[in-house]
Amino acid sequence: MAEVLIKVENLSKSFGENVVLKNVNMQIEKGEVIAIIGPSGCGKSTFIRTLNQLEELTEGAIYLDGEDITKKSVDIDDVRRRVGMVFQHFNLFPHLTIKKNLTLAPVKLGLMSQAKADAKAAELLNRVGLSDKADAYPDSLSGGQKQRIAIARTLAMNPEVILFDEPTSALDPEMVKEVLSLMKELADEGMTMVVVTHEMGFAREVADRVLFFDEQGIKEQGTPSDIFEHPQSQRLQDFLSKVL
Amino acid sequence: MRKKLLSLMLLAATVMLVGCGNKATETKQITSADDLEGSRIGVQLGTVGDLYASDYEGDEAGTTVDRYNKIADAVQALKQGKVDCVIVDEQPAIASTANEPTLTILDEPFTEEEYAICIAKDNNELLDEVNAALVELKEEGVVEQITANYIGDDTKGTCPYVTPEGTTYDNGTLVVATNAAFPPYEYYENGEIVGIDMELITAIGDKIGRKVEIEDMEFDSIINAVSSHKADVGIAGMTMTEERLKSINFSDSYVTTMQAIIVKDESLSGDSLGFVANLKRNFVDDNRWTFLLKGLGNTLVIALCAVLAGMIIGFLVAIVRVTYDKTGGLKLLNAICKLYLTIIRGTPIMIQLLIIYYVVFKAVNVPKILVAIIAFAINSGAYVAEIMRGGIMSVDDGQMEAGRSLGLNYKQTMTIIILPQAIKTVLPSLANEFISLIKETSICGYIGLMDLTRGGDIIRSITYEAFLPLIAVALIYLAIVQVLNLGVSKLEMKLRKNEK
Repeated sequence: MAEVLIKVENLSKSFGENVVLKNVNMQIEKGEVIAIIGPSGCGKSTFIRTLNQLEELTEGAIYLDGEDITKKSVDIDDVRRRVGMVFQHFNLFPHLTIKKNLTLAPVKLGLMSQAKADAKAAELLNRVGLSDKADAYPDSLSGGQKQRIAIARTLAMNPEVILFDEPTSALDPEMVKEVLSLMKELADEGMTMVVVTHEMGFAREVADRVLFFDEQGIKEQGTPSDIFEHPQSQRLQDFLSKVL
Repeated sequence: MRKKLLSLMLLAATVMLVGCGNKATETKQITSADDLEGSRIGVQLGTVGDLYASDYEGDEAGTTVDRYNKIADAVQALKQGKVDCVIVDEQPAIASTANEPTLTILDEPFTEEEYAICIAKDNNELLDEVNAALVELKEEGVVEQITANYIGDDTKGTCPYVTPEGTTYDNGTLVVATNAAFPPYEYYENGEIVGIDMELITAIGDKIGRKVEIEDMEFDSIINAVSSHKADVGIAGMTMTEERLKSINFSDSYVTTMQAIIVKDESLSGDSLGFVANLKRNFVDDNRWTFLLKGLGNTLVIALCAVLAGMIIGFLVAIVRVTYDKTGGLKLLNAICKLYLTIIRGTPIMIQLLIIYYVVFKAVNVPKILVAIIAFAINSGAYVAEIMRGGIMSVDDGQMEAGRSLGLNYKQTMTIIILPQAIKTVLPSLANEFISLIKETSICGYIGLMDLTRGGDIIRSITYEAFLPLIAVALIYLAIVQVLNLGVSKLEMKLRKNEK
């Protein structure tokens, strides 16, 4: 059996009176690609943001390599170095060049020398097909290019897992493909990935496991064929009939 | 195009100013003190003239009293028919009407009075020393000699007081508060404060072994400065009055003088100076332009230092406030910062300046320019803080999340990612804050510091000319502000270009 990387136990999250997630339990194995789908407002983004503690839990625990990262004593910055994140709106640093966007964190955190980080950045830019943009500023890029840079920025940290929070939702339709194919390549190389997405095609084709979030937690989960060919619950059937 | 419009507007403003000046409303001709009832009296604020005129104020005849900061202003108002007469000490009356052919002093003096030196109530030791010195100086004929050096056509300028050889200053300094706009007692000549009072106090200093240091300030600030020990003594043609005795002690009198009434006599006319001659008199004679230059230097130094220090203050306050807003931390510091912002933004800068000078630094002797820098820095800091806070808040939350998700801590994310973007956004606003600060420093005169405005004021107090020095000062401010505005729009353009 594969090694468990992340384990979520009895996770609950509420914003004031509003309960968003209740008693969520799940685990992620190393190398696994998990797609999270569900209607908007179902808590899937909140869930993925708890995994690197951008959102604090109300109750429960999250273990990364067996260590509870929700404890106060944990060095949360160290956890985040190991858990990469790609945002819906890219969140590139507009005042820095693309190269600097990639090398800033590894160098600042003392993980790499500037020279080594530069070499790594060049390699990653080559990999995402944007070598010529090294000295450009983010605002001169298209949305698709920005998201590829954001992925490269996360990769520069050598993370153990990457969380994708609706990575293609803010893109024009013609740019969705370039981002998804890059993500597919990462998946094929064995990167552990958790992807909140509305791209059912991607979920079906690339994910090892699909989680359907609804009514404050995981309503249904299984392989892509379980979820898309044999949906059990009425809610999932309704959801799929709307999006497919 | 803009330039043309500007000069046109300036011209219009000038014409309006001059026009207003010439439009004389109904004047009441005053020929003796008996005519004062029902007239409009001009005085210098806080002087004995003010005190006497106040007795008439609000009587059945409807007497009104206009109080001006300077005699020159009162005289100017009289010239323009805004008041019917000016009550002022005799000697300044003579000096201020010398160049005004249409003004005349009534032969009959208003009252007699005696000038004395003011000393803090709790400083009897110094009071005794000064009185003893005065007695000696009178006996030696020094007082008479000094007076003759300034008054009397035959003796003027012939017998200045000279410090006796061998005088030592073993007892430190004697800080003297005065208001150098009161010839011939104290006024500026070639950039130096001179006059009867100045020579007399130097002679007293020599007697008691203390080196005299002159502090020029507003007349109504002198008693405050002395009683708060900012100055040891005050000498400014000051008459002992009941009201003043409540807050300050007076030495024996050193001169007897009179209050005079200046009126405008329509029958008199003389050639007023031409424009060029007037320019020369206001700026070239005695190198008077150096008042403006020195003042400008101080204005720039104060504004620049204050804005830099203000930025540091504002920066720190903004970070505390934002950290509290975003994370809930630094609760106590945030409360302190909020209090600071409330107080500073809720009170006028002039009051803050006076409080810092007279209350905060009451017991410490700090150079005035430093006091001004501190006051304006504290004030500017509050406004910069809010500008900076707005700038930080305007940076997308995603930037903080992106920084944190890469493993940078809050401080690192703040300094490397958020602040550079915030500063870029607010740079033009900060530059504008500097521009408005330059103009705000024009109140420095209230603590006797010579900034640009006060430089102009000093010229006015010498030449008794309101128009030219004021316009010159205005033009200099305008020129600085315009140059800076130009810089700001260039900066804005460059910043916009960098984004692409």
